Amino acid sequence: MNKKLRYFKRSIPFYIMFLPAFIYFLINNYLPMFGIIMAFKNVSFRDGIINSPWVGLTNFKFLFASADAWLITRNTVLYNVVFLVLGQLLGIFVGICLSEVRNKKAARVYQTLILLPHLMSMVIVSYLANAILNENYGLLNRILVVLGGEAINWYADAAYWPYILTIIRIWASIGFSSVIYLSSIVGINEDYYEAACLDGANKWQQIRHITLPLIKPTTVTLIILGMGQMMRSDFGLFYLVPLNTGALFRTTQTIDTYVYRALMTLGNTGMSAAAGFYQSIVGFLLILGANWLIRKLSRELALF
Amino acid sequence: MKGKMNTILVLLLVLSIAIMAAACDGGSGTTVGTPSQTTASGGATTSPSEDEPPRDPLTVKMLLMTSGNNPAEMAKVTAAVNQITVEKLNTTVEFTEIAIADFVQKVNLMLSTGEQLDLFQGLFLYQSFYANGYLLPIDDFAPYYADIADLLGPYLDCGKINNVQYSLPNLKDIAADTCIVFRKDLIHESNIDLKTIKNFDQLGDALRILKQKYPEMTPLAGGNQGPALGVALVNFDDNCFIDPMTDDGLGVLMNPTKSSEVTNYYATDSFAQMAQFAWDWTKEGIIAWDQLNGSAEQVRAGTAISYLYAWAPKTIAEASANSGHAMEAWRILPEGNALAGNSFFWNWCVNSDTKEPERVLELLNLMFIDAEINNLLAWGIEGEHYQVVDREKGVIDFLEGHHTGNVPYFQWTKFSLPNNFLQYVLKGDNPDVWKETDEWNKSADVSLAMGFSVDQGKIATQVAVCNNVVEEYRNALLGGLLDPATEIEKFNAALQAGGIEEIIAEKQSQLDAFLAAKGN
Amino acid sequence: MMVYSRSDKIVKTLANLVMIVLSAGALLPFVVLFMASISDNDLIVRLGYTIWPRGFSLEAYAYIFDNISVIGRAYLITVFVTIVGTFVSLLVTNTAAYALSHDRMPLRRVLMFYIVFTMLFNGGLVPTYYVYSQIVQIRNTLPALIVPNLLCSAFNVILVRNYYRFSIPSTILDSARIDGAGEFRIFLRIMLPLSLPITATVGLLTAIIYWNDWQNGLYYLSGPEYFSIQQVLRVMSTDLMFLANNSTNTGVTRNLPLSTIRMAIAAIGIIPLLLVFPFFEKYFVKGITIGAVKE
Repeated sequence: MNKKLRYFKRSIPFYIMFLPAFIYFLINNYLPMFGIIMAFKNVSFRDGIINSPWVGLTNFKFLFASADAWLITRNTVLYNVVFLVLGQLLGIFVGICLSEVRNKKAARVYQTLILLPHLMSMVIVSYLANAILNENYGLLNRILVVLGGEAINWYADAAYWPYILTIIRIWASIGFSSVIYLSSIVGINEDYYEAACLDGANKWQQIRHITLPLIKPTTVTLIILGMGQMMRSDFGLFYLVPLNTGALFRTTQTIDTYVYRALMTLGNTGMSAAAGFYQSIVGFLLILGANWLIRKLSRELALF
Repeated sequence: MKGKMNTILVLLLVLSIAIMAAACDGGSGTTVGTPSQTTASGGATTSPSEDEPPRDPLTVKMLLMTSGNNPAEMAKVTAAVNQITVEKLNTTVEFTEIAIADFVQKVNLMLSTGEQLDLFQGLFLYQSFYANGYLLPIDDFAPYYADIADLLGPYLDCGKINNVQYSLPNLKDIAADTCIVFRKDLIHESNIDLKTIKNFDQLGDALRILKQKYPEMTPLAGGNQGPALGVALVNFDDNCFIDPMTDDGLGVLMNPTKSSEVTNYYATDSFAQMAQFAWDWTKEGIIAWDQLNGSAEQVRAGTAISYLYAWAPKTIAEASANSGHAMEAWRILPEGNALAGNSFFWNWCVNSDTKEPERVLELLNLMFIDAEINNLLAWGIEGEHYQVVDREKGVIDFLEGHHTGNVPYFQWTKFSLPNNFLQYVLKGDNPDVWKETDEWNKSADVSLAMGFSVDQGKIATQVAVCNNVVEEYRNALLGGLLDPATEIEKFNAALQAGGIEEIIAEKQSQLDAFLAAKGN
Repeated sequence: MMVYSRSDKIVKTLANLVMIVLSAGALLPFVVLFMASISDNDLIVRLGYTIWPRGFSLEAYAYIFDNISVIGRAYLITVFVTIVGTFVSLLVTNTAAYALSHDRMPLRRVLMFYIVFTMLFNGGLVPTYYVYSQIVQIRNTLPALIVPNLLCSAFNVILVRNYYRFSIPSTILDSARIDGAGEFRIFLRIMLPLSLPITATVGLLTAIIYWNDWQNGLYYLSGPEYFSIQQVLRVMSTDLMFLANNSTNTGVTRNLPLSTIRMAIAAIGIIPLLLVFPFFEKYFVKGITIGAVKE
């Protein structure tokens, strides 16, 4: 007991340092969380959230009542898995490439440019995507025709869209993830590489035996956190980029677009809270599971 | 030890959340209520203010829709408006300027947290505002808005929800009617007389002529608002407009002046016919849907000749300005077929939290009848922001050197002001436009469902599911992207699975109850 | 001194090649965007976007800069908010991360969970608005643009905490503690300088978020005096869309180059931000940090 107390005492500076963030999250995130109860109520704001009548799980019904409920969940999860895996692989790859560019000016130019897509809103991206995919004047069809092929109506066939959306997503996020990986690569002690060099290790061996193992914590963390977002999707990517085209729903409809379309005319606060809660609780369980698993494998790498 | 701390932490959170919840609830305990004071002295048509003693000053907060650029000299204009309102009613108006882009979030937040906003408009959220109890039932205060009631006549019912008055429509084009606007020069060059076109088959012929003559242009264009034949709610069998009743069109009145039978529009011949036109005509190339650009923009750029548009007396001028060419309209149904249904988009509502609804309505009443206030808000101060060209006809012009872009007071959103009919007309526009609009409003057929509003509480799940089905199929069918021969069946199967029958049954029973109550 | 072998050179060349391809892939769409913004609107509608301007017209920019005083002030507000917000955010994030990186702190796991939990659940807009309008009363002030939702993100805290934990040798900390340095001193003198790569990364990402934010302005400002540039641009473009698409409801007639304005608005929002990047990026270059502090 005394030992514990001593630890507490010694940790006081750390608690003080944590305090600003603690207060911030309390105000910004935890205080408003009482709003979650709206998921179980028939909300009328004039009566107040508390006085609105309880309706049990009624608000959740619309998420599962549709014949497409399974399809929507499958789409959301599959896209997320693909984005997560590809995002890490390419993020690491590009991060390493960036770190190998030793010309400082060139490195800065590259870093600036690959972050450009991250700055564009999905509205703009949807127009730019159309510049490529438009049936009549799109770049892709023009190339196809020059090569002797037939112009394709990209917005009419759902089969193309898993690839199109994945490419756009990777294009938009690669700058972000590679810069994160770059920062942890840059943090690797140069001594390791020098020692390896003296031992005659070539670049590839250095990458394999030094860089990759040392960025593992970052990768593991990003994957655990990614599990929490499994049921969420980038609304702009799935709604705006396919131009809200009905024919593409089979491969572009996700939970978020479904909820948006469902509640467009209803404006039902309880139902949208229910959808959010559903996404959160599944993400929560996945994150707990992932963390538990990692903890089993390597105590140090677990988040909590 | 650790376990204990965990518990404390959790307790702390629960406590804070509970406090929050209680606090959030506190502000809005007593609300939707009976009139606080003695309402109205008799059913007098004169303003009740006349025989009252001098009263306390009151500040009313009123929503004023703006577009992105707020007028620079708003303060000046507000002061001028207040000179009138204080003198007449001892009431000061404070305008809460909200850009249309921000409307949904901002007004929702203001109302849900109980901020003062006495007078506002509902736009897309009107029914949601009603469901949340933000709208004050104003029947009890009828004498305070007697002039508005006179002006609106039968259209007063557009502000009713299930026979209770919740709002007051703007005086503007209220009826609904649809036309196709064509580039005048091109149809004349092609010797097409729009007056001779009587139905869609003949329309197709006209489009074919245009296609032949101008092969590089789209004869009838759809744009980012929707497909070329997107919003034409026409009942081909009975030659009348359909009353969609709700935005989603799930359960409509096919012949709204004669029959109160709620029907699944997507299973009717009219919808099938429209989808067939869309399919055939798209293949032929006489209609096309450019999902990226507005249809008026396409006409301006020279890639399209015509597009679907709402009809009102101001339409020709409006469409011509929008598309940069003189336009001519073909009205889908013969004149006199306009439909008065549930027009509530720009209705004025009184907040149910308002302290003195009588005086708020009195102010609104003044704003409906006072030409000076309307023109202050619409055009600014005479001599500073505009000059009168012809006072009798109400025609004005900007001062020398001014145009819409640089005049220090310019309100893009004039249509949202209470009484459009009192507004001056800019030189060059039709000076009789308001008179014609008024007549056209009055000539419209009235839908049996006018003043009816569906309570979607019981069918929310079904509506949510069916909305997604409609989103998947409707525009694709009306845009000629799907073959109606096979897809309409799938569409309707999906609607059935989503529970459209229950939606229609519920709407029907509510509508029947509404009509029964109205009859009494 | 490093010895360069042949395989090193191949790797370097390949790395450059990959980066050139990726940079081109990122730059081209931006070129298309910019070229569209200086094109003739009618030609864009007729022919679509491409990498050279279609015709030439500055009409879109003329429309936006019609209101130069508003735009100028909005830029100033945005710059201020971005600088102050990023600075405060880095401070809060780094201190919290340092605390969480300390293995022997009791409750570390609970506090970590406290942070992660915020990434999963949220109460929705109305309750959040309620907190910031009624309890913290932040509306119509500059902090309203800085504090809500943006000041500190769990994701960033965890990133920085990871860096402290895995990239900084614990021997440095231990020796400092043996020398009798207090934790605050260690944080300021050792940890912060050592963590420049991650701080710069998080700083850059935070700055981008502050620069691009319009939602706080939308929710928490009622007058235009503190409008940020993104808020001004967003209102401009959404209102244009609304007026153009709802003329049936609005009856507004307006002859504007919508397609090119949209692109000009995007360009105006992005280009100034590019000037900020080099400031952060100089800390990304490998090999400058650990060695520099160790001496």
